[in-house]
Amino acid sequence: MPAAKSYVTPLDYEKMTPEEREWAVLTGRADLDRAMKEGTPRSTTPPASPPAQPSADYAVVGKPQKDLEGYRIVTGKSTFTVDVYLPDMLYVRVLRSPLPHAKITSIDTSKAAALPGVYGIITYKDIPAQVLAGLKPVMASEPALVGDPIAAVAAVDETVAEDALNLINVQYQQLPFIVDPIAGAKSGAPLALSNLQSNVSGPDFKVVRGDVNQGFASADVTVEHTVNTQDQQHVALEPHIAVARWDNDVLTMWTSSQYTHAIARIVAATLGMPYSKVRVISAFTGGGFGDKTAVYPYHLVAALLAKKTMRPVRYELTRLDVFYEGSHHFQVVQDIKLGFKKDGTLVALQADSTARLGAYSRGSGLAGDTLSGARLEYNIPNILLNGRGVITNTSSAGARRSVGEASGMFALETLMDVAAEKLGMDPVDLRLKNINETGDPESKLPWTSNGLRDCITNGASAFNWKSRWQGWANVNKGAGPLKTGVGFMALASNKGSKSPPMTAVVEINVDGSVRVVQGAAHIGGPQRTTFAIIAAETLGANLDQLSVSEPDTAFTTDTGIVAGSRATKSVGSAVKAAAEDARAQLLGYAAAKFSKDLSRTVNPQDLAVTNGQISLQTDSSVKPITFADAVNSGFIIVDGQQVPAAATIIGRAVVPPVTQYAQQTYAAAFYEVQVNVQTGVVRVTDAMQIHDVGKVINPLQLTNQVHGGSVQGTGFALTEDYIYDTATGIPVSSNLDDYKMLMINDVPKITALFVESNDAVGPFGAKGIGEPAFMAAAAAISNAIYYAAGIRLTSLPMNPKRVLEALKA
Amino acid sequence: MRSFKYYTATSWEDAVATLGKYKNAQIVAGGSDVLGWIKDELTGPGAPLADVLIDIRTIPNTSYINYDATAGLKLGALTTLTTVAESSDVQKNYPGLATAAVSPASPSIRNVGTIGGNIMQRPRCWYLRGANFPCYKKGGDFCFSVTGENQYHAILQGELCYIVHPSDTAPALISLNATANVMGPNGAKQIPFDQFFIGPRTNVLKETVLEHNEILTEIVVPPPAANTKSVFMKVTQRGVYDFALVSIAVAAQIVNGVWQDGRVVLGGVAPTPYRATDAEAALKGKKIDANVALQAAQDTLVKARPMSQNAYKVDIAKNIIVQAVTSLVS
Ligand SMILES: Cc1cc2nc3c(=O)[nH]c(=O)nc-3n(C[C@H](O)[C@H](O)[C@H](O)COP(=O)(O)OP(=O)(O)OC[C@H]3O[C@@H](n4cnc5c(N)ncnc54)[C@H](O)[C@@H]3O)c2cc1C
Ligand code: SF4
Repeated sequence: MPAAKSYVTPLDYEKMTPEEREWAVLTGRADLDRAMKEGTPRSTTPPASPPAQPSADYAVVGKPQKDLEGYRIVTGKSTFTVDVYLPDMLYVRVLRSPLPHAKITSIDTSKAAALPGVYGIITYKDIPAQVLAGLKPVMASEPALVGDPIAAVAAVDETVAEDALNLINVQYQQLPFIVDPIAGAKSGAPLALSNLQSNVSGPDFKVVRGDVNQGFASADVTVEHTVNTQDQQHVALEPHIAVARWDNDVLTMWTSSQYTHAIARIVAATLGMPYSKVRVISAFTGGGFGDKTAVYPYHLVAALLAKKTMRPVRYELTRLDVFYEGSHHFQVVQDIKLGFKKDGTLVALQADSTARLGAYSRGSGLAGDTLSGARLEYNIPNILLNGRGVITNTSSAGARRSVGEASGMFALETLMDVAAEKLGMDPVDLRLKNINETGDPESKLPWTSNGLRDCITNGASAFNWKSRWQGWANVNKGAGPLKTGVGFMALASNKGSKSPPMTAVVEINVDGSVRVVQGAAHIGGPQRTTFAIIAAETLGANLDQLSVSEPDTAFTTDTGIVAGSRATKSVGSAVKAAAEDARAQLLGYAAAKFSKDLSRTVNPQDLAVTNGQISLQTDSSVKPITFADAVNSGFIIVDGQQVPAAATIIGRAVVPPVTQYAQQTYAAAFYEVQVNVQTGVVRVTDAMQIHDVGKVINPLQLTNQVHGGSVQGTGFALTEDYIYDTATGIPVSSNLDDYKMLMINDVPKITALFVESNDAVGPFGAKGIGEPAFMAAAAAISNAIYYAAGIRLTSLPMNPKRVLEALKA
Repeated sequence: MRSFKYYTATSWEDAVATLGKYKNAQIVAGGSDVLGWIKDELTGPGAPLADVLIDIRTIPNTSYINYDATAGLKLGALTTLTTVAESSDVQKNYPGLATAAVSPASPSIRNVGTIGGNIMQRPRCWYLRGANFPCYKKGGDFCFSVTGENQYHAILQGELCYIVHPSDTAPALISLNATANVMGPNGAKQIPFDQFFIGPRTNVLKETVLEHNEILTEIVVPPPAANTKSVFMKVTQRGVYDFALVSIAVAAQIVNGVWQDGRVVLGGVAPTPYRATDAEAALKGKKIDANVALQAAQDTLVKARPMSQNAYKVDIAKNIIVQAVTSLVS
């Protein structure tokens, strides 16, 4: 066979917004592009990973730990941005476009300005053209979606601000608009923005491997389907909010954010200020799920109105504001086709993905992300993948707990189930037969680890798959209106990688307390607890010696975004390296103290640290000393000499990016559903997810992540749907009654199991979990619905309407 | 939320008089619906935003449950849904109503939401509840649902406007032959709930016969006749906290499995709670079984005129009629 040609069209990083570049890093695309560009990897044999110590040897890692911040949070003592009220503060409300696409022909704010209690108003006329939030206008002159900001008012309270909005007179010239991405991609479609040449944004995402036509020609069994997944909202508990205050030329902003440093950097650049003069604080963040990763118009609205009024201002978005201005999990339409040999060997994959970008996302990267799992999960010699993004007059597409992968995985893993039936194979066996355990075929980099096989086999036995799934002859075999069935999916994801920036500082103070200084958001992971565990384990400290800084750009370094399931692996790596640095210094202090006390030379390598005690390994009769004893002694050993030293230790780390491996996370999911064939209502009755997390750092919080992910994933599968009225371009399910989040009664028992594959680059071998936990649901549910009721649902959500329509078809 | 004037009423007469004074005044009971309406700025040419709210919770003795075997049940309009649902008198004598009262929304909303407010609540059509749709019901000249997103809309009796009536308690009250006591400028009057709700053809701007300055003060349910059974069922996408895709209230006297007399009322299918008289006729005098119930369901739903996206609700309605009716004899 001739050598298969294989390539991925690289992204154009020059043309990307900072937000898009952030995603490229998060989704592993940047790693792939770099590896492709650099050609053959530096070494074909991966550097040997350090052997993981067996779990029992760890004092803190792997033990269930409560969130260190839990007490503060549940007693209301933690400061979320919604808790920030400043003296003399003004409140902001924003007038938003009622039209999906228009030009403002006139705008009159004079009546609003005259209303007592109104202190400042801004419209597009007050915003310099270059001041944009990514590509989103801070105030629009050509609104391109319903909800684009038109005017912002700062007033003594929200009621006055809203009364003022009502006094603003705006005249619009309505322009043609487009909501549907498939229609929008056709030539002659109305343009979503007047400066576009085409709604199709940039060159297609394309992956070619081998020869797909030959592949299908050689296939014994071919399956294909079209999948339509919906816009989904994040609905973080804390709404998007910014509180801004100017002290002379320094701007302080409190905001509910997943990445304070990026907010500071981009706000500074946008307003033409030095980065050092913008301070951003997010002590606690009440949920983000990807939607609090970027600068949005509201950040700049708060900053500009605070400047204009010379008073602190607070802009807390309403839920509707968030739905309009936030970025969504985006609609994707996918055609996907798979070819197999009789024995189940995959030989060809073709997939085409069209992503609805909304008004202010660009490129084919998001569509590409939907295709990532299909490219990498299984060994497939012949592949042709195509993806495109289509700009539409809807809210922007963006990161949402997996970016596009959840949609892609839904398409692939439901089709694998179709194939398993056609091949007469157990769906579990079909997956096991095809797992790509080697590495990324395009970049030629090996995996850091791959625990997918164990996820599947351990899960199948824990779920009792062999007895609960009784072969393809028993599809739709239940009697009565309530049909029960089980379904399975496997999952590979590019999320959970180690990606820059990765920096951290670990301080050991005179009293022996340890402080981890880092800037990652505390957003439910719970990240600060994870970092404390990693630092404590590395140092040999007790967990109660640890505290972890709150994100505040004035005091912490850029630790990177808390998104892409990266915090444990990326920030954790930096924390571990900084703790190793601090530990080395601590041992220097301790060696000096032992040498002095014992009047003989003690070397750092003779010492061991456990449970916060430093002991002399060579002589158990010597009483161990504490961290405080060591730091207080005031001397370290340099070249065998005692040298006076400061009574504080600062360990630091700047960790380089990973270039020798491709990074993936893996999972398997087993779900049981009950389909009521009379009402079309589907209930999940049992859920099990098994994740390859590399190494379990904190089983309690890991399990929490799986619970949350499963609930959100089930909502994606069954009920959540952000629907646009195509005739008007206005979203209709834009409230929490019509936008149906699951309630606690809808949540079954969820079992979380873990596989420890010992990742080659993660701290203690760990990798991420946040997004995979969300992705490992929808396809398993759809497959279970098929097994229960004999209907294949390929559009989400799988609500009573779709179930009953399919039953009738 | 925009500003409004706020009055606390001291008596029904006071509330009626204040309503008469302000064109755009509205009553607030628990506020769980009316405040959302104002917050969402839902206004149109025929539906001005309330600029005056008249609180009727301040009127004494308006929240009560009185039951006696001859006079039946009397519910003060301000009685919360939770109180109604938890009343042992209601549970024992009108199980359908007790279930209906525990079905709306969430515990927190039922703790403030009143039975009067539940009956008088405005519909949930998402075009109506969106600020930028000046549809018929807001005094405009268009119904967005006809060519738009109508998966939750009416399958029966829609014309002009295709809302479905959202209340869970209303079908139960109609099935139990309950009556509304109403206070207006000319004093008190009684209106059977069977004649209380009006369709869009009668007046698209409102859902009941009540005039602007009339107030629902009390709900009266006659004592259950011997051998009466009642039931309420509701189909929702989520397990809880969801409006009905279809709901049903049935109350009937059944002797030896034979339907003597009774009512079948559907919610979530038509602009008013839908009294399925065809089903009632099909059941009368029959020994209840699945086939008889299916016939009743079919007789009802031959009249269905589903829209482009809601034919599935016809199936649900059919199936739930069978389920509810047969449950009375099982
Ligand atoms: C998220 C959500 C979900 C819900 N789900 C359901 C559901 O599944 N099923 C269901 O049945 N309901 C549901 N509801 C509606 C809820 O039950 C009502 O909001 C509640 O019962 C209204 O009672 P209230 O006292 O708060 O009314 P208010 O909000 O105070 O008033 C509602 C309306 O009735 C008028 N009104 C109130 N009392 C009187 C009176 N005595 N005479 C004349 N007019 C009056 C008011 O002027 C106003 O127009 C839901 C509501 C919400 C917000
Ligand atoms: S169904 Fe009624 S409320 Fe809804 S858009 Fe049509 S007219 Fe308006």
